[in-house]
Parts: sequence; structure tokens; C-alpha cells
Amino acid sequence: GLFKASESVSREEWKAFADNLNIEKYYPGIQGIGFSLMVPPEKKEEHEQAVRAQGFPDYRIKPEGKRDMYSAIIYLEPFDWRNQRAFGYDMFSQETRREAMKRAGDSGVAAMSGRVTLVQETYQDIQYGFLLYLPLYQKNKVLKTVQQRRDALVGYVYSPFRIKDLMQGILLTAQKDVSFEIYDGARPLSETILYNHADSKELLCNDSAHKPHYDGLYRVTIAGRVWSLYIYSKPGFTSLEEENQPLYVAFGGILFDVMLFFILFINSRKRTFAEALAQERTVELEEKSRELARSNEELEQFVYTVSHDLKSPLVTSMGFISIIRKLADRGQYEQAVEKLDKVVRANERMNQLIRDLLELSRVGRMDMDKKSIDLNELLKAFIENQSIRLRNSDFSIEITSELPVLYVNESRILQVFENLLSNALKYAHNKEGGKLTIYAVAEHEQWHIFCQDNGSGIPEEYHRKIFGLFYRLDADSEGTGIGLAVAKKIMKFHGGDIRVEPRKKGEGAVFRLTFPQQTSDKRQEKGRNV
Amino acid sequence: MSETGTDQLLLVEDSDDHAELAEFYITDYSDRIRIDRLRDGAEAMSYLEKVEASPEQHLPWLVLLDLKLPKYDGHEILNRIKSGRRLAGVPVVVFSTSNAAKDIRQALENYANSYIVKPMEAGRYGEVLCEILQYWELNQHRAVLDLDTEQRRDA
Repeated sequence: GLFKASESVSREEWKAFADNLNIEKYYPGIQGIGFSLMVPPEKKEEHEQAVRAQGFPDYRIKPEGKRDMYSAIIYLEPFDWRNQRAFGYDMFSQETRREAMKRAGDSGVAAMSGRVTLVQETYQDIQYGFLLYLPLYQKNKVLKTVQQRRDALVGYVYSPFRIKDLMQGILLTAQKDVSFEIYDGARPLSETILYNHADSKELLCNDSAHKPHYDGLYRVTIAGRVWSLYIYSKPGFTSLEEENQPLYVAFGGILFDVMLFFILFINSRKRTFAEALAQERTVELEEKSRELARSNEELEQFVYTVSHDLKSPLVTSMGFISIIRKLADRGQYEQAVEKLDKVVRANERMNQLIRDLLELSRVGRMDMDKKSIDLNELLKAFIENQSIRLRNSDFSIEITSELPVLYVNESRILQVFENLLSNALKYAHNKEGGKLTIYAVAEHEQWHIFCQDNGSGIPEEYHRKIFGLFYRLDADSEGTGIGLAVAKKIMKFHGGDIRVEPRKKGEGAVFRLTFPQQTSDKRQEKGRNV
Repeated sequence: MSETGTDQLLLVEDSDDHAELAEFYITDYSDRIRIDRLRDGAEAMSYLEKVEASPEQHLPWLVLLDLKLPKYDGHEILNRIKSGRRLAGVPVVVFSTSNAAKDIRQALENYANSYIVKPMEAGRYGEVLCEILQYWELNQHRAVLDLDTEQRRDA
């Protein structure tokens, strides 16, 4: 992500967050809400490339030039024509902004900048502005000292304001009686005028010639910045008694409005942003930890099962080798040689297990290209190939419905049917001769292929276990118990599944192979009929 | 070792190969140990329940218990032994290929007397079994438990 911190916010998330605030409606004068990321020089290249990769091929940090530290406005909503001019702008490179950013970063609280001309200003309707910065730090860091804050600083949530829009937006009280001037700083100098509410161009504060009837100079500190607020009565306002609105209320009203706005704004920004971020992160984190826990468990189970199944024949092999030695020592050569069988078989078993494991891991990877396969033809050929084996076991396979054409990997699907057949031959015993019946049913977006034998069925409690690795219903039988696990993996690879159907009286075991319908899309292309 | 009779060793083991190994080494060690083999959890469970239920049934001298058993697993069998009034005193040595911490922990929590991992090195299987048998022969439980020391024709 673009953020160095453990959180990362995407462009979409930022937009959603900003949209939610409904900025234009509630916060007049505010140009938007943005995020500026601190970018150390060694990360500048990487950063610019990362943003370009997001779809902004011309992005770079502006202005150009070598500096000790860069910052970049990477998010700014609404991303309208004015705000786009600010994209990539390094606020840290400009003195007034830098002062506020440093103040915010070091103190850990919101800071308002001095008077600026916003980058967004063009030639229409130029106003002065200022920016409000809220520092953002890496999660879970101690932020007690200035140095700790500097080390943990990630960037700033900030808002640019255009002063005229702001003032005219927030003033809740009607201003027919009073007007005011705002100066940036503790002294009301004409060079530092921020806002003149009056229509006329003259500033009255330092003008001794046109003294208003009532006036007052107030200093307010907002977010670490001092403003001098000069409030005065307009000409035509002569007497206290004549008006409904007492002057002090008017004065106070303005002050109050201004102060209140900022207090609320700053607090709400802090809280909302933090909340929004926290909520998203929590949900994501929960999901990720659940996933992780699940795959850890699976891995543990796998390792546990495999290690046991490999250890056991190793114990046997080594154990009998010692017995052979002992017997040989005692001159019992014949018995010693007899035991060799056990050793060989145990080793063969280990070999088979290793081969099966490799097979299982391979199912996920190689030769998995698919093509349109007509199952009718595939299975007909399969039955032919198995004819000798079937005859020897007095077993038959019958296909009792039209099977679909599916877009699958031929050899893998064959493997599934082979595994099913092997199982049926092993477990489905029937006096009248074993039989495997195969038929297909279409449903919703899926094809279901059923393989039913005429044995005695599989008890309910084993319906899920049998797909487990190395699980065998009959421990003495041949085979490693991996067949169904492989079958399941193959089915999952094709976006489907294999399950045992619930038992019905008198029926043998029924396996259901489910393929998603899309696997047969290719068949439409080939112009075949359903 | 009892002076007159034999000691009954209950071998709960599903693998024929491992059972044969054990039987070879145990009979090699001593012909006064009589091995009774139980092949899976169900057999073990019903045998134990029979013993627990009737006081005329004598108790085994030692139980060698594998964990990977079909039907009921070794942990359940262990639990059955250690929670039976009569059976609880019988020493149970868990003898398994597993060296997984969770198995060891579970066995010890169920009061297994010891947990020994089946050796995979040549020669060790016999040696380890010898050590186990030697050790438990020192144990004085035979003095107070009602062990089955009846002589039988075949081991």
C-alpha cells in the first residue's frame, strides 16, 4: 500500500469517507478533505511509481527539487477541477504550511496554518485561505514525546478553507448591524488581513478617521493559530435600545459561530476518520484472522496425518530389520529371511505414500488445461479399458442417462472416476454381482453426476471423513486412503465438489459430482445440442 | 515379576506389524509375560468394561496403549481406564508414533503413567520395550492390586 503504517486506505475508501461527510452541504468554504503522506527522499521514486500505477501516469511530487523531506497530497475529495491542481503537491515545501504541519505533528493535535493563497486558486474569485491539519501516526505507537511523534508520523488529514466562503457560510446570525475583519496573527495589520466582511475595500481597524460607534478587538486562538477579530457596528446603528438584537449578542454571535465551527469540525474529523478507519480495519482483520486460523488448522492436520502415516511403516521397517539381525545372530536364518517380507512391504508402503502425496500436490498445479469433453464418450472408453478388471471382480458399470459435455481436464476427470470405481470394487459387494450406475441431472447452474453402487452403502458418520487424507474405512485393505481426497481436490479445482448423498434404504453408496454450469459453456460455442 | 505365575500385559495396537514387533521383543525379554492383544478401540472398550464391572476379573499388570486406533481412539481408552474405580491403578504406558505436543499433553492430562514414542531407529524398538518392562517390574502396584497372575497354557 501507499501507507507505511499498518493501516492502508484505498482511494475508494477515502472517497467513500469523504462522500459520507457531505462536505459541501455542511462545511461551507471547505475545499475538501484530503490526505497528505510524508515521503522521505529515499522513498520518493517508489512512491511516485506506485501512484502512477494507480492510473495517474503524470503524477509526480510538485514542486520539483531536492529537499530533506517531502510530503504529497495523495487523496483529496471531492476530486474536482480545483482540487486536481493540488494532487501531488508538497505542502511541506511551503513555509506557512510547513509551520502548521510541524506544529500538528509535534503536538499531536490539530493545527491551523497562517494565511495562504490556496493552490486551488486560479484567476476567478481569489480569496485567501488557510489549512487545518490533523496529524496521523502509525498504529500502536507510544506518542508521549515530540520525538516519538516525529518518528511515528505517517501524514496528515487536512482541509483547505477559503475564508470568504467559510465566513459567509458559518455565520448564523444576521449581520445587518455589525461587520468584522479578521487578521491572521495577534496584531491587526493590513498586510495580514484574512477576511473583510464589509463590502467596501477599506479596513476600519486601524483607520482612526472613521471610527465606528461600537467596536471591539478580540483575539481568538483556534488550533494553535491566533486570529485578531475586529468587530464593529455598521453606520446606521446608533443606539442599543433601537435594535432588537443587542450588540454584544452580535459580537458574541460571530465569535461563537467561528469558534464553534472549528471546535466541532476538528473534533468530528478526528473521531469520524478514526472510527471509520477502525471499523474497516476490524472487519478486514477479523476475516483475515479467521482465514488464517482455518488454513493453519488444515496445515497442522495435514502434517499430523502425513507424519503418522509415514512414521508407522518406518517403525515397522527398522523394527524388523533388528529382529532379522537378532535371528541371524542366533542362527535362525530361515526365520530371519521370512521377516524380510515385512521390511519390503513397509518400504513399499512408504514409497506409495510419498507418490500419493506428490500426486495430491500436483493436482493443484500442472497440466490443468481444460477442453470440452463429452462425458458419454469418455466413460464409454473408460469402461472398455476396465473391462478385464470388471470381469474379474464380477462388476459392471452402466450409464443410465445422457451425460453432459463439460469443459474439464480430461485425465483428471478420468482419475476421479477411477477412484470411484476402485472404491466400489473394494467396498461394494453384492452377491448378484457388483454394479456402478452413472447418471446426470441438471439443476440451476449446475450439472450433477451421480455414481451409485449396489453395495451396502456408507454409514452416515463417515460421509465426510472418507474425503480426509489417508482415511480408510478398512485399515487392512489395499490403498493408502488418498483416492477420495484427490478426487475432492480435482473437483474443487473445476469449481465443483464431490459429496456422498444421504443414505436411502436399500441403496448402496451414492457419490455426487457437481460441476458448475459454466464448464459447459464451451459446448454452446461448439454448436451442440443440449 | 510374580514368583509363581505370569503377568498379563494388555497390548492395545491396531497394526499387526507393530504388534508382532512388540510380541517378539516382549517374549524375548521374559517368558513370564503374557500378552493379550486388542486390535481396536471397540475391542478394548468392551474388554475394559468387562473387567471394571466384575470383581472376579483380574486386572492386567501393564497396558501398552497405542493412540491411533479405529473406532475409539487411544485417548478415549486411556480415559476409560483412568476413570474406572478398579482400573485406575493399572499403569498405562502410551506407546505411539506420535510426538505431537497435543497428544502428549492430552495423554498426561488423562493421567497416563508415561508417554513413550515408538522408536524409528534400528534396534531401539527392542531396547525401549526392555527398559519399559524393566522399569514397571520395579513398581510395587502388584502388591496391592488384584492382578491376573493365572498361569495359562499359551502366551
